[in-house]
Amino acid sequence: MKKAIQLALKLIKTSFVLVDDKKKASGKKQALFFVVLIVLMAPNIIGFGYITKEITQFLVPLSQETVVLSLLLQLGFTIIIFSSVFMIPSYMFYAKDIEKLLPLPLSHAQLFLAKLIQIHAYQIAFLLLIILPPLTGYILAAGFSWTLVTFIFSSWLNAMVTMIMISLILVTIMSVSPWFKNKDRVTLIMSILALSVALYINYNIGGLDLANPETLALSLIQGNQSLSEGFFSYFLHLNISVSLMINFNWLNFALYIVGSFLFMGLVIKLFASILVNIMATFQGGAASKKMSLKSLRGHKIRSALYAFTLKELKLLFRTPIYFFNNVLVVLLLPFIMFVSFTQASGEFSIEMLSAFLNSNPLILILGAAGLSAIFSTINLVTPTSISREGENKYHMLLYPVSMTTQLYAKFLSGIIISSIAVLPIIILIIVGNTLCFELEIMWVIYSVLSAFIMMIFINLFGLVVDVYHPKLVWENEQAAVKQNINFLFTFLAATAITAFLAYSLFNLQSYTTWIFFGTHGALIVAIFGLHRIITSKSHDLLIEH
Amino acid sequence: MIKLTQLTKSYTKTKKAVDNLSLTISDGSITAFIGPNGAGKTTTLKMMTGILKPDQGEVLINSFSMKNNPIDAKKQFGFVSDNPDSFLRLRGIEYLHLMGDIYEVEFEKRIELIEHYSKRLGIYDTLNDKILSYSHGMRQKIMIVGALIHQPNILILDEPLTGLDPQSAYELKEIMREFSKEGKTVLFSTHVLEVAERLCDRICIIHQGKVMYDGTLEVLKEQYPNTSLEEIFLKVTL
Repeated sequence: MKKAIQLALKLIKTSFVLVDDKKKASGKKQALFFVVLIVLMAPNIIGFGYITKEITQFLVPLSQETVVLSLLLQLGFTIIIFSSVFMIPSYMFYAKDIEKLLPLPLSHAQLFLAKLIQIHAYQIAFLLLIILPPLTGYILAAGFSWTLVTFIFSSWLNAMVTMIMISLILVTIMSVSPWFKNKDRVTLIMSILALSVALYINYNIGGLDLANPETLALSLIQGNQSLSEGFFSYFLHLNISVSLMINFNWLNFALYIVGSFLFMGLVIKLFASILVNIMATFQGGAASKKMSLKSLRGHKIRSALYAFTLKELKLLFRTPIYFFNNVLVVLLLPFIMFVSFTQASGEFSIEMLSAFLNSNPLILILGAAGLSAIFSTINLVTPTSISREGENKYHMLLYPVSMTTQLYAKFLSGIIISSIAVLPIIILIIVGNTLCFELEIMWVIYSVLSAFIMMIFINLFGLVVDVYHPKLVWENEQAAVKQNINFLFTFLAATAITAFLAYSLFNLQSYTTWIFFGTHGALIVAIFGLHRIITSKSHDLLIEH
Repeated sequence: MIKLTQLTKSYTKTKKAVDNLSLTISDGSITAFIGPNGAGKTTTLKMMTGILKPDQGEVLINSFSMKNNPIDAKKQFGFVSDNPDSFLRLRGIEYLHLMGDIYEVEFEKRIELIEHYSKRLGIYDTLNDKILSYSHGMRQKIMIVGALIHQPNILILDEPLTGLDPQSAYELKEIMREFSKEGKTVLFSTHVLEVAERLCDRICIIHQGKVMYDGTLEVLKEQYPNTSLEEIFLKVTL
């Protein structure tokens, strides 16, 4: 046990890096980053705590405040499930340190336990970050009680039991087939699974106004637990801890603790060797696919632009982190928006929309431009296109293909990904106008043009931003996309243009049409300006980075 | 032919990584760039291939200027970097076809060359796998095949033998010899003096960004009689 804890502490120390940098970040830099993070999160943290306090105050006179803790317990459980699904494969099976740990003179149980402690420490830290603010709000409103002690103890115990349970499930699945040896495949499946659950949550919450404490509290009183019924009824330990909070009983509490530790001890004792042996098999390569003449010849000759665009798309679709952040988000956001809109729209009808658009057709133009701006911005394809090359950027300078062609391949990949969401919007406008709105055709053409102009501008702007300011030094692909400030520039540009159009539409009615024409004209001029930068400056800029 | 004229590159204000380096590498030769760590070998190769912009000086590849006519200059050579961790999510065969498309290699010719070189280097059977699943040596080999796919006149390699198994290292050396016999140019950097001794017609010792010796091994040995190449190297770079 002592050795396992010592090893776990070392593992935590060596793998905990807040600032992702090639040169190991100094303690001061990490602390500063942490402070900035906390400051940025402060409004949300305080807000979450405040809402919980308000809800609890509302529930205390009704003797229903335990429902808040139950909800938090479920939230914690969801966090542990989500994080376990990603962390267990990463830290146990695909971790680089496994090769170094396996030869150490440690028993399988010690090694397994050390890895579990490492994952558990990260999960508890994250759990505290999420749970502490609302828990503080709860304590301020309801005060200290045995229910609270039960909650804290249950949260900790459940986190351990859940993680071990998930590790058992994952290991069983992974040991069944070599198909799961592929890290990319597993990450992708887990990501899709996580997103599906997120969508399910979104669908269930529906139009519920979470920012309104009274609305939320009323739903809680009415027993709006459809989410928990859907997820948690299969998990015995969660149900036990919830029932313990409602009806505390010493005997049940003792049985719950003993049962949990017995379960964990048994898993570690009985399965440690199997698990560690599976970890060892994961250090080998995946099964090889046989090379055939068909595979060798199964390609066509392509132009450089086509070949580079295809390469960009293949890498975007095949790299789980990129697929998740650059592609899937464009596929799912329209769906999420549609679900939210239909659930929140209430008595809003097509007739009302038609009348609204006919009152001022420029609303359609604003809508097309705004949605195009959103979908072109959120995919992050072009603002990270050079950054994603990382240290392999040198290839771009090596090939006998002009930098303009290579950059336009990146631009095209951005346009293709943006189009996944923008094209359905355009189709909706055309179909909607034909069937319902009946606006003059010129407005439809203008709205389509507006969507295209915005999409081209945002993608080209993002590309140029990344040419000037690529984040080339990173060790994991996530940093190239998620920790890339370039997104902010395109986001600000898209927001500024859309906000300006919206402001002029509602506040400068006399000049709106000319302002819209002028803005689109300016965007076209800007597109040519950005094109000029790409053709004349990009090579020199990239060679300097 | 590769001609470098007064190449200079500084990463900091105080120290020059490459200092006024001039060199001509003629056709049909195998030349080794040798020098201690940080001598400026990789920086020189990067400037030669257009990856780095020299502060001063000029690079001519088969008479094409890297500064004024970079596309034609880059068509002349195949380059194998010391970091083969590229295009990891592409399958080996996809990477090679990408190279074929970039260098505009005719389809039947590219198939023939892919088969020929990948079989020689022992990676043919793995071409359908993603490069991500390759070992370091296999990644190195796929990059070598990629560099050879357009049958360049000049082959430039940065530490090419690192990570290769003995069979593949032998095959690569054979490929280099065949290249030079066909009148083509091979230039590679290495730390392994024995390889330079056995394989090269000419060696170029670089130290602190300057050429300390440029010529045949025989002439160098005549200057330091009864001394091993290792000892000569230490004396030259001291």
